[in-house]
Amino acid sequence: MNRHLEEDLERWEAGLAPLAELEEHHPGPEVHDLTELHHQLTALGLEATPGPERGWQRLSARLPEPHPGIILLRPTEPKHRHVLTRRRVAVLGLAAALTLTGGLAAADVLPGPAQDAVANVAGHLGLDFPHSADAPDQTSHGQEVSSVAHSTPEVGCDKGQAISEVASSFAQNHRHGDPEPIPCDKAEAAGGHAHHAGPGSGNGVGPAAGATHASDSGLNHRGSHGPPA
Amino acid sequence: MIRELRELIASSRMANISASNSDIQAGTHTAEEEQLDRVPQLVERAKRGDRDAFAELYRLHHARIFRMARLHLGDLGDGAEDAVAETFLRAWAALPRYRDTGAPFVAWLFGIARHVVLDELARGRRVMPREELPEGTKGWTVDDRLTLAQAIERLPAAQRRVVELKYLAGMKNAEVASALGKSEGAINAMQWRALGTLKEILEER
Repeated sequence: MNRHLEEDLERWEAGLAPLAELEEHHPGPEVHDLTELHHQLTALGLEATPGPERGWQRLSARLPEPHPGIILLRPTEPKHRHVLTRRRVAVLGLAAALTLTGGLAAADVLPGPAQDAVANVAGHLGLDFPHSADAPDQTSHGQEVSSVAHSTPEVGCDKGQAISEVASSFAQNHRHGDPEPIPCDKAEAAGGHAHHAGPGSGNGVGPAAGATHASDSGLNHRGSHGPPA
Repeated sequence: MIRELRELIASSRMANISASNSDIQAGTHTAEEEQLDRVPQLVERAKRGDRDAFAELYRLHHARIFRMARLHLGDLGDGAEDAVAETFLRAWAALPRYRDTGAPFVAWLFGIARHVVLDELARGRRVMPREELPEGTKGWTVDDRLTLAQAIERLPAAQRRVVELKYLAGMKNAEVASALGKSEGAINAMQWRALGTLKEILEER
């Protein structure tokens, strides 16, 4: 179809040119066929149809409500169940988090600020959690014991005792009742046997042994199994 | 072939179609156009889940979608009516995602209807029409209608859309241009080119 014919057909459709003029400009059956086809199709768009009410009655019964996209994706019942499940999960998660935090705080292993925060909150609830300042500095304590072991002028039982005193200083802070007997005094009272211990037991007065003596029970144990007076 | 086309056209010529095309269009869509002015507001309400607004949209567009479905699926049983229902069901579900681009709402509905019709055709639901033709189609034979529908199916996609939106959806060329994102001049030209192609397809038969 040439452009000139298209333009003439546009003019005809717009009512600007009579059909006779087109047929005169474009001899042959083409104009007639195209305009007839146009009429056919136009008539097709004007055909009678059944009223919409019956169709709407049938459709409205099938129409989900109220918001179709959401309803189709989330059926009503499971949605309710999902909400409950989410709530349960949230509550359980919160409880688990609180328990874990409380446990760590009670064990005094949280970082300083976190430990203080938890201890403060727990304090309001009547729970006694340690603050970070209460926690012994294990690293510096070990260094302190090591320093004493290497620098003390004492030797033998006295050196061990000096180390032991430093090592068990925290334990002594919490010790109640009578003070422990001094091992070296006991040893001297027993005839200075401790000073005559063999090479194996000599290790017992070294730095490592001093650390071992940090245990009160260890001191008692050794004392109780000392040689008879 | 041309002779057959002439016979087909002659047999389908309607008594109320005169030589002047404007006679057909004049006064036909005026009342409908007034109602269609309300469509954007109805669409907005329907998007919010207003069933009454959606019912109004259904009533306004039912005939156009029905004609399109009937042309392709035939008119036996409830085939066309079922296709209309399916079209509006899908439209209701997709409405929250609908964005007003300025194109007529009916163009969006026609896009859905086209998928519904294709689904039905894929299921072999096309009905060979052997019942009475709808009122207003004097001069047509049922085979003429089927032949025409099949010829429209064979049009290139762009031309077929122009034919469907202009003739079946009753849109003006400016509206078709808006729906397809083209100029009105391009639609004018495409329309007559489509009719030329349609004529050639019909002549081949």
